Amino acid sequence: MHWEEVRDKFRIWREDNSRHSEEVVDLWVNYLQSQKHKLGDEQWMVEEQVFIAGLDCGRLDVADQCFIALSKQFPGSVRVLKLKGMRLETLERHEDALTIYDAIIREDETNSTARKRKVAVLKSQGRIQEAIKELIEYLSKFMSDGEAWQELADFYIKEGDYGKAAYCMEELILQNPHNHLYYTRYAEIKYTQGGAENLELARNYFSMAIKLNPINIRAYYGLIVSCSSSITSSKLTSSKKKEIQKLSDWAQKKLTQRYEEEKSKSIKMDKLQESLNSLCITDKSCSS
Amino acid sequence: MGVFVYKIICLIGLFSLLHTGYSAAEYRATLRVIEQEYSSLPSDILLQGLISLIVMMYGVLYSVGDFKEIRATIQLENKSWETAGNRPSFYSFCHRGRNLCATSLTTLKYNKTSLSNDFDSYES
Amino acid sequence: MENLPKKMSSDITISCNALAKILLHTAKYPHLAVSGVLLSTSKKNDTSETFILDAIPLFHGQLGLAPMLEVALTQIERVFKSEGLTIAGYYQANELLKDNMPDFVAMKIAEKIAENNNEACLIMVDNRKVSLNLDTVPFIVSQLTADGKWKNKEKTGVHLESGSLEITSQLLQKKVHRDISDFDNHLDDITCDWTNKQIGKLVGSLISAAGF
Repeated sequence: MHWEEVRDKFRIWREDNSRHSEEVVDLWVNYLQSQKHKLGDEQWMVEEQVFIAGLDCGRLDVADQCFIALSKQFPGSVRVLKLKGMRLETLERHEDALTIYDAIIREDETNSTARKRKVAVLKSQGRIQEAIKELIEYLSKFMSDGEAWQELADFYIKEGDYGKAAYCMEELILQNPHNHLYYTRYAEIKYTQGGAENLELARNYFSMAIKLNPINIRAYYGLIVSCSSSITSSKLTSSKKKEIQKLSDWAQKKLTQRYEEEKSKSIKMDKLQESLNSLCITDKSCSS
Repeated sequence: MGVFVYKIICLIGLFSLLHTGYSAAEYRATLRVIEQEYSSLPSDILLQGLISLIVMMYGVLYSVGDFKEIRATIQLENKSWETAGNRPSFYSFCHRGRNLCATSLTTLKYNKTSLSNDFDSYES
Repeated sequence: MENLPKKMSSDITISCNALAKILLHTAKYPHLAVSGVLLSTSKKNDTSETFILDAIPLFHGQLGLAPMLEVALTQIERVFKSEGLTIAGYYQANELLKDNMPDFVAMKIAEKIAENNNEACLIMVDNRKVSLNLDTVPFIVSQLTADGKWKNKEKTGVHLESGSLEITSQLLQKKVHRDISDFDNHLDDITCDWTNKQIGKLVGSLISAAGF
């Protein structure tokens, strides 16, 4: 593999936020490290990327070399100090890491990355309630931070607090009205909460996700299960049930078409149709 | 064709455009010398200007990379939670990754070398 | 005559296939929580021993949402019914290294599975014991007792198919975890095979090559 291909791969992974830590370390050691002087200004972003990948894999030998290079290039940098904190977290010296982050915040109240690392430290220690509290305080100051809202939604789902998780997803949808992933996740949370109103919301948001992205398989499946749950569990009028059934049939048809297009080897078509049928339970009009 | 070729094309277009400008200035100066009225530039200069503009635009468009879709939803179609769910600012490193990477167990003991003094002394 | 408890504690044997798939799933996403279901034969034999034949990796990252779980369980039941397999348990590996306790999601799903299968087991992966050179079963296996509580099985009650640890270690070292697909991967790209037949075949050939 040529070092330029590796450099391009690293660039794509940085932009995408992909976490291929093991591959990053392997490719760096085998191809890019010896050519790093050819990277120009990009070298420092790559060094930071490899540092984080090294911490992820427990490869402190690799991470430390990157840290030394960065600290020589940017002496006294707050960003490099934050990396030192992350190294301490890897060694489970959480209190020392928190000391560093608190010092950064004291120097500069507007530093958001150190505040977020504090939340990460609490998460690593398993102190989820405190992490949630810290994150809420952070969000009261930095309301437009989508990453933080996502993290908070995740915390709430893990704690089973679906109502608050749904609130976080609503904030994300407001900030990113084109992102089908947020609509899908919101619909999944509403479905998990259960109840007639939530099921209706789930149906609506799954439908919106499909409208934004016609190849969102998750949304099709979600629409089918929410339709079938609505039909079997709620006290709806028969005309409403017929409407919901039509929607479910349409989603099943689209899904089957999609599988046929991709010629999926993982599941035979007859088994797929059976599975889709079984998602519509008991109602007579479900047979297709 | 490589980006380099498109950059050359762009440069050729630029020089041609500059040449057009120079020709136009020379033409007007000549008209002043022979005391004729200026009505419009000759068609060859206009044509050269138009062609150099098109050549430059062609070179620029292909040398700066791909266009992004105007519709915001198209870019997101191929995104999944695999990447969208990663939040680098909140990464935790206390997971089983260290057990699954070759040589990691020996390197975690490594932190007790003299280099760890360098880290402890690093301050902003 | 003594009243025997309703549920008898039986030994559990985990096949090489199941062990490999569970650990490959955990290795593919070492920084995330992962979950999946376990399969065993639906025919009950006299010994009442549970033999976990296969594992189906389900999700990574966010494990607690219902819709895709319902879809996955329905599909698994349909696809594997014809092969005489049934869902016999649930496995989960938590995100943090030292966290091997089942959370409420794991309990809820395992209880749902236990409603249809008395011998259902809940496997929590012990992250500290997961490594490239396995020397012991890195699982904490529990089953429901008669009074509805999950009780950890003794180490002596959990067996592995011969050669499982060696073969799984080999697979992890050869980075086969890059090829395993879970249900989440399938939902993102429907050409991914969540039944992981190829990996099953590979494990089978390694077992016969090693003469176990």
